[in-house]
Amino acid sequence: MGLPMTDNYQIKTSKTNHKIPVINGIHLHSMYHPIREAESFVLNHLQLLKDKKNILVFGLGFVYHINQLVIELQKIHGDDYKIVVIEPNSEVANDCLSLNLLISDKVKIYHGLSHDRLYQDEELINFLLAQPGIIAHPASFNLYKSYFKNFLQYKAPLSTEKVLMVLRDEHIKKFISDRFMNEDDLQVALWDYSQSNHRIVNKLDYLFFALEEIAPLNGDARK
Amino acid sequence: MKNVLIINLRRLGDLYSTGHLINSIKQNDPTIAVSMLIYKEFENITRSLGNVDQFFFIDRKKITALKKNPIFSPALAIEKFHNDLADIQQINWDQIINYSNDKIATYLSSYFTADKPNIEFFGIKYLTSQTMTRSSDWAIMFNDILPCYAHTPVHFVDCYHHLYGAPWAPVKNHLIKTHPKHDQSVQDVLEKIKKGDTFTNCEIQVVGIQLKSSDTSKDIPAETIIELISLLLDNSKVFPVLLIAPIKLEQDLACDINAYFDNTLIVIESDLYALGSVIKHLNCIITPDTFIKHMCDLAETPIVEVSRGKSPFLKQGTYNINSYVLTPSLPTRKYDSTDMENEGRIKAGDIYQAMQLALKHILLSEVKLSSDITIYGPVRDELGIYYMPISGSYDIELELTRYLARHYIKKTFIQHKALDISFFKDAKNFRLHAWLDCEKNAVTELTRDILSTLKHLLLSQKNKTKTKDFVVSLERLLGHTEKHHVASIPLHFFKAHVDSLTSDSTAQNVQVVEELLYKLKGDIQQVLVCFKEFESLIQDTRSSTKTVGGLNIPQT
Repeated sequence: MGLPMTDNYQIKTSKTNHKIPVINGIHLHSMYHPIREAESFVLNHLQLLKDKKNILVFGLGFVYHINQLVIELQKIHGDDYKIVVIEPNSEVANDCLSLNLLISDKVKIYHGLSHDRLYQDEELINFLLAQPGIIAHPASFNLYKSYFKNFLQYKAPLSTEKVLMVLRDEHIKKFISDRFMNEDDLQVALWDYSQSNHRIVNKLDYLFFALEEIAPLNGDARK
Repeated sequence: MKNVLIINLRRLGDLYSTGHLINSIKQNDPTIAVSMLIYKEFENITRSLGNVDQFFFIDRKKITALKKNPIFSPALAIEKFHNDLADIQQINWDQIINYSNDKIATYLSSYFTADKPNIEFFGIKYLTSQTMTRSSDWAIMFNDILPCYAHTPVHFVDCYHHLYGAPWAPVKNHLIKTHPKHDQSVQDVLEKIKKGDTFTNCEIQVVGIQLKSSDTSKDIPAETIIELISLLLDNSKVFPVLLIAPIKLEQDLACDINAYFDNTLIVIESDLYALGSVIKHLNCIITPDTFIKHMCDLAETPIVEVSRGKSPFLKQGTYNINSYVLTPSLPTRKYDSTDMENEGRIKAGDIYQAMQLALKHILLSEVKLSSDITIYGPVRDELGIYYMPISGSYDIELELTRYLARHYIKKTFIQHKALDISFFKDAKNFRLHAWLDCEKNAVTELTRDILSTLKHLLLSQKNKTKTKDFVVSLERLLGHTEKHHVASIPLHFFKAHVDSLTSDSTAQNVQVVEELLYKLKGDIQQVLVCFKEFESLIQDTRSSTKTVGGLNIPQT
């Protein structure tokens, strides 16, 4: 899925003199009191913040909500927290960063990236594996609903071609391309391979068999 | 300097248990560097288990999450696994030991040794034909016999010592690493308790009670623990403390138990690292089958192991000759959690007496256990640790099967021929001849089926239409592995060798099977020799006018 298009983007100033991004006519924060809006927003997620020190946020805006999350997480967890923000619009993100609005260095921002690219980032993967809490910035989420929904429903491509694009080790790439070229579902192909009694010709066979034992497809261990 | 890698992909208890082999390796040759490959979820052991020069980790949880979650490309799990093993691949190993012998470790053993014929390998691994190969018959003992034979004749630790060829060395200091700060804290607390009874001026012995194991079938029931604590509190020579991990389940259990005693009990909550300091300073620990048992063995703290349910005490019980194992009598044990109602019930009084034995407060002759309960004491013989029933009820014939199975193994594997019958010579109500008849019948049936299989094998070589008869008779022969006679042991070896036939040539495989059948026939004869030796010694003893001592224990 491609990144969402922006027809119209401008930055306005709120009554409280805060900068507010406006995309396709949608104000990403309150034009009256963005800080109060952010405080109220965070209060609605207080229990989640108590339960989870790692938070994934959909939508950067101009970080008023992020800063409130930082304040609240610091109260609850001290320095032991992390926020990751997914933002499809790089223009907004770059403006936000150049305005120096963020109050914490424990916020990692991913902006303007495709889902494939996001799900290959090691730091993000480790973050997701730790099962963070998820909070959607309402204005951003509504604006980029498709993008965020597809992020949540993402399924990694399984074809040999796509998997080879992610692999970095040359020996493993060669092993897979020699044996499993043109497979639509490499996972199934690897599983079937591990079930067969063929002669071992490459020591990587043992590695893959071991991997299938560690996490068998469909939970069934090899016979 | 030799580099040895031990692959152990099992749980904490098994990891600690490896400490005995590592100790023996290092004491026999201090220049050897020993590394271990374990799962990352047990990384905490690195602070606790001594003598290991380097640990390597497989992050199983992360690999599984990457592989199973559809949001991640399969590439990520593949690369993570490969990378976890990359450092191991860079090292020039002299020896690799597959300690856990599970499928993953076995594949990895093949992976690490595939293009490195100079690595000396111990355990089991796969060949390119995907058949399993064993480094020696001790690997068969470990992989094929110990899991299947009802009353295992050999301890895991000993199996590994023999498999690797390391003479056993007594445990030395520093097998469990501790922090001086933890040591001091524990010492300070326990010193106060131990010197508490100023009236009698007698040092009090502190007894730890481990509340939980990883499996409820192994746990000592809470009500038994409460009764036990009452008994301990009534004894001015001992002081009980509860041992728990910093886990809510155990904290809650400790609270519930403590409530019975108006919250006056001392509860020691410690993580893995601090636990080492605790167990080092206790006089005795009462525990179900937990990793703490194995830690205590390495720290040489005597324990009373309460073995029930799935606890496989005969192959993995305490390895300390100053410890005791308390168990429902072996005839009642099934070693699974589904049939526990038929097991004898271990009462608080039984545990209390076992503890008194361990602390040398009472003599063996003073012990009176509940019915269907036995105390076993580990003794060391030429093969390693063996569990002798020393109190309570036991089945003499079952013990004889265990003992002679072990004697057969000693004769076959370490050429130790001396047979010690002191335990059996005074045994009352010992139906020696009935037992012998039963075992000899098993030998007769087995021999008959061996000969039948041989006959059909030879016929099938001349006439291919007879192949089916050979297969049928071979299956009937292998069916005897379901039974647990002494003669089943050589049959298990035979089966393991048949299962690992590697040739692509049928003719070659047939020849190997023929040789194996003749060998099996010879091995079965050796079993008969063992029976004859025993029978002859018992008869000599009984017909002798010399008075003999011995245990005087009522039998079932």
